[in-house]
This record gives sequence, C-alpha cells and structure tokens, in this order.
Amino acid sequence: MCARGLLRNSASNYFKSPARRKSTKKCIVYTTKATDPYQNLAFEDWMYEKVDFSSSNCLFIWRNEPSVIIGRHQNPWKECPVTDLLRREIHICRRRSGGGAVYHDLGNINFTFFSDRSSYDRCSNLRVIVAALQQLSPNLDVAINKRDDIILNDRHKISGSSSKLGRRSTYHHCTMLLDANKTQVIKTLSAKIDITCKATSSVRSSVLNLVDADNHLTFDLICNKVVDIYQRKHASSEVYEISTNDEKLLPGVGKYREELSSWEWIFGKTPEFSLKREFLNEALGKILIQLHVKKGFIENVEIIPGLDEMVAITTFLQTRMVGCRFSSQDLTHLLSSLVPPLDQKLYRSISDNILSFLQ
Amino acid sequence: MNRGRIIKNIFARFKKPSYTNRTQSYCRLSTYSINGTKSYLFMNKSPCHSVQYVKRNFHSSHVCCTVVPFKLSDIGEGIKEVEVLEWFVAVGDEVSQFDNICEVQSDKAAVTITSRYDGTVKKLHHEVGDVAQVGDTLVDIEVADDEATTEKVPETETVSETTVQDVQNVTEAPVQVVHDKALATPAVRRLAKEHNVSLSDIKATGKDGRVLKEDILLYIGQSGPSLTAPPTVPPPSTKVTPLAEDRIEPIKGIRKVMFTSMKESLSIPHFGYDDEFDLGQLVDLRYKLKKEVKHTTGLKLSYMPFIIKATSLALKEHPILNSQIDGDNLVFKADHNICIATDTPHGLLLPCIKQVQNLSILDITAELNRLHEAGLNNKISPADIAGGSFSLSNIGNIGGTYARPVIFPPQVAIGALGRIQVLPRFDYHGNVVKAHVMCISWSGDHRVIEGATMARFSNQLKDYLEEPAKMLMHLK
Repeated sequence: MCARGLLRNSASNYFKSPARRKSTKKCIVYTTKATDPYQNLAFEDWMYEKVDFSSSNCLFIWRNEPSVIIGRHQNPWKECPVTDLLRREIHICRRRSGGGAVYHDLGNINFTFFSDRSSYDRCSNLRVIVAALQQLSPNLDVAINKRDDIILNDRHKISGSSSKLGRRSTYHHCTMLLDANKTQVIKTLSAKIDITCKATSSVRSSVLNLVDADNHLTFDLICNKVVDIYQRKHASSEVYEISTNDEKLLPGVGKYREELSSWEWIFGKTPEFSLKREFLNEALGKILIQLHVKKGFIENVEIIPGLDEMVAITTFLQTRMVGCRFSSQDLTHLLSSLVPPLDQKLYRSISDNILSFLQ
Repeated sequence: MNRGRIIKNIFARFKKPSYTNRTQSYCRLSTYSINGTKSYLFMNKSPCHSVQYVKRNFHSSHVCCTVVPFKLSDIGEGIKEVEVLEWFVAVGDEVSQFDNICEVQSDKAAVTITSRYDGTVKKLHHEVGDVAQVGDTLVDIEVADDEATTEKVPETETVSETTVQDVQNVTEAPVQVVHDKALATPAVRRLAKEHNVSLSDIKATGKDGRVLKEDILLYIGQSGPSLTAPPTVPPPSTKVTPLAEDRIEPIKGIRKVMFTSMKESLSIPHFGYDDEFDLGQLVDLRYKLKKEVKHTTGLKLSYMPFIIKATSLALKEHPILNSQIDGDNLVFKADHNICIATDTPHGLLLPCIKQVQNLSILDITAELNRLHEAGLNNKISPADIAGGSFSLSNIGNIGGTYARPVIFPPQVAIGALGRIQVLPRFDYHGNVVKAHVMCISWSGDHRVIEGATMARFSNQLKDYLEEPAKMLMHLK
C-alpha cells in the first residue's frame, strides 16, 4: 500500500530510498506491433485467465489504432458519439477492467502490468513509468495523483489507470498520451445524448501530450526506459516481441478476440438505461418518448401523454420495438419497414425522434 | 489497529499446538472450513461467530443446513467501499467454491468476487449500484449438510492439527477418517475423495500450501466442476424480529443529501408568514374537472396542479421570490421550476416541475404523476432534481395545518400546504358558512425577502386559489 497524495517527486525518492525492495520474481516483458485493439485486449484476457503469475510478473506494452475504450461497466451511448464513431471506423471497445472511457491512437502508449493478487500494486507500477519519464527528461513535472493518474505540470492528465482483480491474477493497465490527436480525444469522448443510468461515469480531465512538454520524447525512448527500470526491479528478466493473435503460442486467443469484438459484449453488457426525448407536435402539443434498454435490447417504450391517439401508437410500437436491439442499424431497419395502420404523420415524427436517439 | 490485534490474538490461540481440549481443536478446524482458503483475518469480524455456529451444529442431534454470511473481504490498496456492479448468481442458485459471485468496482478496479463455499445462495444483500463496505455481508449462502458437519469429531479421538475427519454421509455412513498431510477445505477433500485422488499427490497452489479445488481439477485433467449437487433442503423460514438493540446506520444516499443541504440552510435567517385560504370554489372546480381529466388522459387530477400553476402566476408578479442568491448577487430566474417535496420510500426528494410558466394545468398533472411514479420506483433522475427555483411542500397530504418549512438553498422561499379542512367561517354577510380551509405556511430568506413582499405574494396566490376563474385571464 502506498501513501497516496504524498507522491510528488516520488520517482526520485524511489531511487534514493534505501528501503526500495527488489522483487525476487522474474519478469517477462512483451511488446507487440499489433494495433488491433480487440486483439490486444484479447491478449490481456488470455494472459489473465491462463497464466500463473506466482513466480513471474509481466509487462505488456502496446498501442492501438484509433479507438475508444470504455470501462467494463460503462454505457457506450453515454460516453461517446456511437453512430458517428462507427461511421468514421473508429473502434469502440469494452475492456474488462473498471474505470472510465479513453481514446487511443498510435500516439498513446499502453502498459499492462500483470501480477498475482498478492503483488498487485498500482502505485509501484506507476512509479516505474514516472521514474522513466524523469530520467529521460529531468525537468518534466510529473506526479501521481490520488486517482492514480499521472499528471503533468500539476493539472494535465497524461495517463489514466484501471485494473482487473480476480482471485489469483490481476492486471493494472494504464495509458500514456505521448502524441495523440487531442482534437479526437475531445471529439470522441463527448456524447450529446440524455441518458439515465447507473453505469460508471467517466471523470473528465484536461489532457496534454508529453511531446508538448518535451518534444524529444519518442515511443522507443520511453518504452526502452520503462522496460529498463522494470527489469531492474526484478531478479531476472526476459523480453519478447509477440504477435497477439498467434494461436499456436496463445491457444484460444482468437475466441477472446471474437467475444470482445461482439455486439453482445460491447453493447449488450451495458447496464440498463433509459432515454427520453421531448418534442412538439402541432396537433397534440408536447410529446415525451421514453425508451428503456436492458442488456442492449429495448425493454419498454413509453409515449406520454397517454391520449387516445397515442395509446394506439404506443401499443403498436411497443409490440414491435420491445426486444429489438438498441442499434442504429436494427432500429432504422425496423422503423422504416413498419406500416402503421395509424396517423402516418404522427408515426413519422415519433419514429424520427426515436432514431435521433442514436445520432 | 485494535481489531487487528484482537484477531491476531485469537489467531495466536489457534496456532498453539497443545490441543488437549477437544472442543478447542475442533474450533480451529471449523475456522478453516467456514472461511475457505482465504485468510479468516478479513472474513468475519470475529472468528468466534463461526466457532459458535459450528459448536451449535455439533451438539444438535439432527443435521440441518446452515446459512453462512459471505462477507466482502479486504481488497487491499486501502479500499474501504465498493460499488456492486453485477451479480453472477441469483437467489436459489447453487454455487461451488471459486464460482464467481459478483463483480464490484472501486477506484477504477473491477474486482471479481468468488465464492468460498459450496452451497445455495439464500439472499443477495445488495442491489446492482449499491455501495458495500469492507466487512458487509454480500450474500447468504446455505452450506450443505455434509460441509457444515464435516468437522464432526468422534467423541473418542483427539484431533491433531493435520488430521481431519471427513464424514461423507452423516445419516448412514460410518465415520471415515482420512489421514492426510495436506491442508484443504472439507469441500476440496470431498472432491478429492469423489475422484479417488490423494491430496498429498496434488501440487498445492493455495495460501500456505493449501490444496485448492482447481488443483484437483487440474490433476484429474478436468476443466469444469462435476460436483454432485448437494441435497436440497427447504430453506429455514425467515422470522422478522423486532429491533433487539440499538442499530447504527450510516447517513448516506438521499438522507446524506438532505443532511448537507439542510445544514447549509442554517445560515439562512428564516422568517415565517402564515395564512388560511378558503378553497371552496377550487374544490367545486376540481370536482367538475376530475372525471373529464380521468376520461381523456387517464390521469388523476389533484389540487396540486392548480396550486402549482397559481403559484407560478403569482411568482410572475413577484419575481424576487423566484430568485437565487449567488455570492453577492441575486439571480432572478426566468423559469419557474417549482420543486415539490416528495416523500419516497427512499427518503425526501425535491424533484421539480420545469418551466411551470409554460405549462397547462394538464401538463403539470402529467408531470406530477410521472414524478410520483418515478419516486415510488426510485427512478427520479438527477435531471429531475436539478434547477429548482421555488419549493412547495404538500405536507397536508399526510396531515397537519401549519408547518415551518426550511428553505432549500440556494432558493429563497418555500411554502408548506396544510390539509384542506371543512370548518365554519363567516361569509360577507356575517352568516356562518361551510368553508374548505387550507392553511399555508411560508418561509422566506430575510436577507433578501421582506415580510411585506411575502404577504403580497401570498395574497396574490390566495386571490387565484379562492377564485380560480381569475387565473383564466392570465393563461396563455
């Protein structure tokens, strides 16, 4: 356990401190050239499920092509403009660890620290990274805050952490903004939809790239330094470059990838939520539509006020929409194929408003 | 610290090798079995509980199931509380040791909690979204007969630390004694026996060299558990007992919100102004409209929508009562967002009806109904609560005449409505008539509101409510 909040300049203390303990364990470092987020996350899963970390710790260093990675218990609709991202072919992934949503691209480095339950220590992992940065760039003002974020110049977040703890194995992974597209960070992590749900909310932070503070820093420099310091913490070490989809080396990893990239995982695992939208109808005045979505499927549709004209259309929509996936494709297809035996104009305005939930 | 020391002492006592007293040695073993492979230091506040329960079992002449509270153990890293995010089990499910029970989250860590028992889930103590503290009971698990009584000790035998009595079938089988050097829980021992493997042949990966269920499964090359289901026994009937002793409950959730905002209101110099309104005409009006509204919209029309609308009309002429204090400034709010104090099963909430100035009485009725439903189902959203500019408390719904409402900061005024009473009053001609009297109690923030303002506002509202037809002139 570490004394949180007292970690300013912790990296330098870490090296001066005589109490610094070297682990008796071996460490294995994996790097990869793969940039498919699902594949890299599948590798994490595979390691967590299959590997025994009682005698060795592992570090995995990876980067992803543009993607938004949300926490295990988050709502993608609340965190990012889903339809927009899908259109622009930015991946949306749900990871297995907790915490909030992050944007990844090749300008962002990810570190995953695997260990067994007894050696799980996020602070110690982050100190490795902070130490590496300070050795590379002594004037850099980096510190670990109490949220286990690494912050630059006292306020800008450059790294966020989250972790997954099982009975035996754990991993802690963190991001590091080196030279990521900051416009995309902001754009991909802002949704305009009004959602009521119990899902984990992301904590918004002002972010900065490391290159903004020191433009000499590069991916290779940082990785080498982090690996170097990590190795020095352990009794012995091995470094490998692997491909994270190697079925021979990692039997079953393809299945993990398949699950992580499935709709059932990314959207189906969303904690239940409701959406509402109010609009004005010339004839009937203010109309409120409420959708309740459970496990990614529409569970209920409500249209208020329950006037006579509305009761019929509500029942019509309820019988057809309940059980439909809450996805742009499925809903658009469903609503445009329905032929309501009712006021067409009213039906159109209601269905258009339902579809606009997905924008 | 103190607790840690006490537990350590108990622990130390258990570690003593001199088990001449049979009951004591028996207790030691039971601690193992109940707490599973995990250290019992974090399991129960006092291991004595578990000791007592097994003792009871030991003395009972017939075998029955025992419900064991499964508590949230210390996760480490100074985590004191977690949010329950997903249940992998439901009441009635049978679980085996190491089966996933639930997923919790704290401090951005997703933690999978696995069972330490074989048994049947009897009760989930938390709902998804609840916060659980370390040490709180997560689930009650009913432990099957043979597991609870595995430690049954033959009267004649002295138990050494590494000897475990394993009773397979208490009702008919003779006691089988397994002498084994390895440490394992009774459930694991049973599994080993079912598969005819010796624990000493298996590589132990558990804490302190304990053999885990997984080790056995790995040894016999089996990936999934194939345990025969424990016999199902009807659950013991639950009895509701009155509170026997003081109960300590942390102030949290909605009550915590009330705690904070009401403490803040202490800095407001409140003044009161009370009056009585004769709502005779409104009573008639509502009676006439009630059926109509029910027929067309299915909604129940109460007095509140009229009062809320009239309040908004009166606020239009006294905008200072719809203002908020922001530092040194007074912000006159454009929208009449009128909060309605709502008594929900989860506590007092103040959801507000937004932009009442633009709503019809029917709109307000619909919105009130929605908020009422939402309150009952704990579905009032933060958006419903945010942005209030004026408050009304319909305490008369429950009872009472005059009240002393407390201002909800940063608002500057609040009204409490008493119940409508049928009382004798004098009319214009001096005759005693039957009147429908509602008492109303206002509280104002005397830093910015004068008593006269409040009185004029109250009179205006009185005017609208005593002669509802007057409202017509102002409706758009």
